[in-house]
Amino acid sequence: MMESRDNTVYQLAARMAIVAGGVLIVACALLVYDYARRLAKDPFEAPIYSSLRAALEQQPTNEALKEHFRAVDLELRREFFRQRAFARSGAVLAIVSLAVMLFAWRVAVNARRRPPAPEALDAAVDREAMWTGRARWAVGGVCGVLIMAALYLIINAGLSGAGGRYSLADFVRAGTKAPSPEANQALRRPSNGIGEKRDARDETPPKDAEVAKAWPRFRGPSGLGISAYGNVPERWDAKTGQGIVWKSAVPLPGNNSPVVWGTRVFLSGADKTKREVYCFDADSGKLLWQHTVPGTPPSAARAPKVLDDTGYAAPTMATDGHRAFAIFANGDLAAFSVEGKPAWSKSLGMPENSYGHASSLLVHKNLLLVQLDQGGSSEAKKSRMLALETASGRVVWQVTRPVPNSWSTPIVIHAAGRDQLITAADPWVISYEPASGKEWWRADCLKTDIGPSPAFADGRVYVANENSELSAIQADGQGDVTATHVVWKGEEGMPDTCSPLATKEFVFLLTSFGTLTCYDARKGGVLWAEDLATDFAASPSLVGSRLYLVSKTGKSFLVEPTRKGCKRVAEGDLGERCVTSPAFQDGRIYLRGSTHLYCLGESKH
Amino acid sequence: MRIAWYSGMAVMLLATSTAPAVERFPPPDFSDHELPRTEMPAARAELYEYLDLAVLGIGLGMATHFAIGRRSRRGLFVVTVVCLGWLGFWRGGCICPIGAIQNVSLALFEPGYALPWSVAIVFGLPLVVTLFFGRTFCAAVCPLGAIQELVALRPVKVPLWLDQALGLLAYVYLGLGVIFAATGAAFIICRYDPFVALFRLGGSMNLLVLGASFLVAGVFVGRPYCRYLCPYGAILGLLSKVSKWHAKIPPEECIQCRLCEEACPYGAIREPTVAMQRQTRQQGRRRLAAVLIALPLFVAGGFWLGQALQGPMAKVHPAVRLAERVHAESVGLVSGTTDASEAFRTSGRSLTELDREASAVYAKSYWAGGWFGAWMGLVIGGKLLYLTVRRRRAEYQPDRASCVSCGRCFWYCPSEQARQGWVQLTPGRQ
Amino acid sequence: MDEKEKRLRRRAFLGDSLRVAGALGIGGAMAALAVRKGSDEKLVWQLEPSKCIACGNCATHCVLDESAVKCVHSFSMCGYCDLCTGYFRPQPIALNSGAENQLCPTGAIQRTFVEDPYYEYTIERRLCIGCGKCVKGCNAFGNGSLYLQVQHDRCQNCNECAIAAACPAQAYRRVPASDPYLLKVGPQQG
Repeated sequence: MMESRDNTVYQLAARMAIVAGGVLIVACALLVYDYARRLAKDPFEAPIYSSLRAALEQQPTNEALKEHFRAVDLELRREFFRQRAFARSGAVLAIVSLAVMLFAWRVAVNARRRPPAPEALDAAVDREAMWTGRARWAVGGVCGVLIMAALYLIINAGLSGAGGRYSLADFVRAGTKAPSPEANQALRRPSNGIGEKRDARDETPPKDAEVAKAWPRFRGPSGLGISAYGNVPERWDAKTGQGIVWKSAVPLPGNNSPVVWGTRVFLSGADKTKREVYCFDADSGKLLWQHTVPGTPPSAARAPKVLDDTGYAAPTMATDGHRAFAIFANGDLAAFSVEGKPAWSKSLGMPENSYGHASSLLVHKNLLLVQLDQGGSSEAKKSRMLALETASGRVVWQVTRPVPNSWSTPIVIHAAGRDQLITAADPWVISYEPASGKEWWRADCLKTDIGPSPAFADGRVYVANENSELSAIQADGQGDVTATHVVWKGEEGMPDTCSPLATKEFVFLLTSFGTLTCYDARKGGVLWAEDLATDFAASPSLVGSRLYLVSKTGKSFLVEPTRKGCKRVAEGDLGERCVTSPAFQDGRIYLRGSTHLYCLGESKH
Repeated sequence: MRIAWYSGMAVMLLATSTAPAVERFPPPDFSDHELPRTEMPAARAELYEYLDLAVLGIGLGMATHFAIGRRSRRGLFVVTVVCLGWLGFWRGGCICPIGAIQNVSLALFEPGYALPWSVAIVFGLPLVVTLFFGRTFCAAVCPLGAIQELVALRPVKVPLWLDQALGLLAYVYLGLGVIFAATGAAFIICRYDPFVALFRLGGSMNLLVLGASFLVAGVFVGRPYCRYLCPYGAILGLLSKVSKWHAKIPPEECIQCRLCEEACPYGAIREPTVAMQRQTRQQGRRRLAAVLIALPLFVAGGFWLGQALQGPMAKVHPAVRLAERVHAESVGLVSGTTDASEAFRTSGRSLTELDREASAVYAKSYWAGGWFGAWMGLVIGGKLLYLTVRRRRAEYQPDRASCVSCGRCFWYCPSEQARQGWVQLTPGRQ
Repeated sequence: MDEKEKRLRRRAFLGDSLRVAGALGIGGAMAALAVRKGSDEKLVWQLEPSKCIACGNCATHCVLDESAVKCVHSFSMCGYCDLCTGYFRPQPIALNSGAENQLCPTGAIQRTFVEDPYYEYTIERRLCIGCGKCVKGCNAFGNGSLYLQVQHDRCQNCNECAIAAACPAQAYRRVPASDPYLLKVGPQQG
């Protein structure tokens, strides 16, 4: 009777255990499947998502496409939460079925419980002695395994990924530190010949008149965006080829503007791993030479982190007619003779710059001036102004700057009877003596991230930036001139990228979203503002009395400003995106688009 | 129009991601708009904390009562299920004396860390109970033990010699757990807790697979985690050896039926010893002398080997790994950056400061490694000592270190069955 | 026999004394450790917003499938920008709440008009997964008023927080349970 009842219980419980076990297996399988599916595709990373978005960017006004995108997005989001709920309920199901299975199994086991029937033991055998003996050997074995593991760890103690050659122990034991960027300032001699031969030619700095004729740096001879030539083209159109003298492809991308000296146009380009300098023939557009800038330790090891839109070659080159100089986002600085021979190169250390180094170079007499502002705050004390000998790259002077990273380019002006190197950063506008680095004056004028470079006209320095004000500073002060020499301030139309352009009469500001604001340079105050309804990254330039404004789409506007307002005189179209500033020469404009370098002017035929 | 502003900004890279405190856009002064409140859901009420401690205390009391007093396996089973439900699934397995080892270690070695009262109680209470009653905490209260207890349905017998040798791993784990907690490197016991992901019905796939593997293994090998890995079990085992009222198998007199030994899935029951022969006894004495002499050598050798582990030990600490990485990046030994090195650079901390921290950990690791090695030497020597010294037993007895007081043996013991009145022992049949 | 019993009793007494001493020792040691620092306060995990780099680990490393970390908003710090870089993707097509413009993968941020030109951004906690995308956006170009915090109604308060172990910026620490949030405060309040 008992027997049969136990049997029924066993049968029932065993079946229940099997069913619950089946459910458990199914639940686990579903969970694993779900997990694999989640691993394989994150709904938010779905390819349809990115392709639809790309399509939308192409046709930003396509309402049907938008609706479609929204529907897809909603479905993907639902899918995400559905998966999460699925995993949760799957887990609960698995645990419940596990519990049921265990319970049923236990009942089944108990129903069939047979009393153990141990065999009789031989009383004479000392089993304790036997197993303890074996256990001692086994303990010895475990001990051996532990020792082997310890030895393995000790031998492989090095840094993974560095071939085990290098570990913190080296620093601690030897008491050494990793080489600082400063230590790497010494001239390096990479294998491809850079630095082996100095240019033996005439080292006299170029005369002012030579400089004035050329376009040797960002925004022209004095860095103010003012052309020395009035006879430059007004109209061009890439589609019809009208007004295009030549167009040449530039191998690597770069957001730097062309610089020109005589018959040579210089540009640089870079990607994550490669940095290059190009020299084009100004008349034909032929690529005369190109050179790879070798990675100079320590920066060579890794790519700098830059914003996509910045790129790895944002700073514009500089030239003094003997050499062309280029600096890249990783702090590598290189000089080539204009004929294309490597002169020297060095690394200034990876700039600690949230979006990559972008300040352009400039040459003053025999010095190459580099504004290397870096670090997240001025407390970091990492920002420097450097002056290097153009012939050798030797550091002539350098000063620490009390500012965090900035992206503006300095200018050299002549005011109050002295040469002044004007730098703009958060919060200080500082004037240095270019020959020595001695500080003339400083003014607390700017806030946050400074992109626009300073401008100068008629004894006044003009600085402006988004979230700050436009300040006109009389450049004849001494010490902190914030309270004494800021002649006037303006609040409207603050630019974040494009630099101001100043004349005796006007100060022009151009915002990235296309508002051109004109101030009265003498007294301050807005005269007028014009909405150009397109985006800008290039700084405005002045030819004669007309402003050249190149928009990001490649469209350019030629406007004639007066005190009352401005008149649009002409428009041009490059046919490709453009974020760089034009270089003006005799009858020519050199302009870099996203992939090509253009020479604009009267075609020869 | 601000769209263009944004893209323009992006082009000329005008932001520092490192300065969140910058007020780029002054908050407006609204005339008639009330700012919403930032939501801050409160933590679990303190009441629950007491409730958890109460459950632990009552659970311990009940488990002890059923294991030692009532000798009821059924009662223990109920306590097991309740404690698994509360401390395991409801509280996510985080009222855990096993993990508390690390908090205690950290509190001992790190002057800045205050041991919370609740953790002190969670850690200390089972120790004290064990000192008097044996491992009743393991029997039914510990959720990790409970879940393994419930799945131990078809246990095979692990040979005692293997069982003893594998038991050493728990001491390794204990040593590492204490050392890494002391240097502030990591709480490895928590990090690799196999069942916590099951209790929370989710978590990292690796941990879920680990937990499931332990459960499946637990069907065939009784309580694999408790016996071979649990660091707290190692401590409890030592204390249990001197417990006053440890569970006894036969209530009165052992009839030497061997049933209990068959029934125990954890290899915790030792049979009566036979009289030793003279030769064995002499051999035993010589062996004992050898082990006693070797013990200090084991400790010293362990220390020597352990301090050589300084490098690998230090590397468990994130600061050391970060310092190495940053140095390697700066001299070009590795390419690219990691989130950690990137975060370090934007944090404004100086490398000197990081070096100082890493060097301090590195220096500490010398002693940490050394003491860990010495501990292992002591453990191995002690184990050999235990395996060399013979104790006399006249009846079947649980090995107090291994026995978790689960009460299975009561069920099988004929004397117990007679006492409970389930069977009548007829003297005539013997 | 008497002698033996005496010896046994002496042994038992000795054992008992040792056990009581042991128990007192354990209790005393625990009490000493707990009292030594003068703090018996319960501690919970929280992340320091100023250290956070919004790497995304909070969303993926929590022991809970739906992370205990979510985004919070300090309204007093917010610039109420029309173009909120925590709300909009980079280079949005238009400044409206269309999915194509939103940065949040789950659409957990609501954008409501307050007064020209200000918009208010509120977070739907239910939908937030703590990925930190908006935090990154807000920190990069905005005031940093959006940031991540451990939500204590969800946090299991693990002994070793799994996110803390995976945090590259080492931004996690234990804070007293009585004051469990590290909120950013706006200038008006500060």
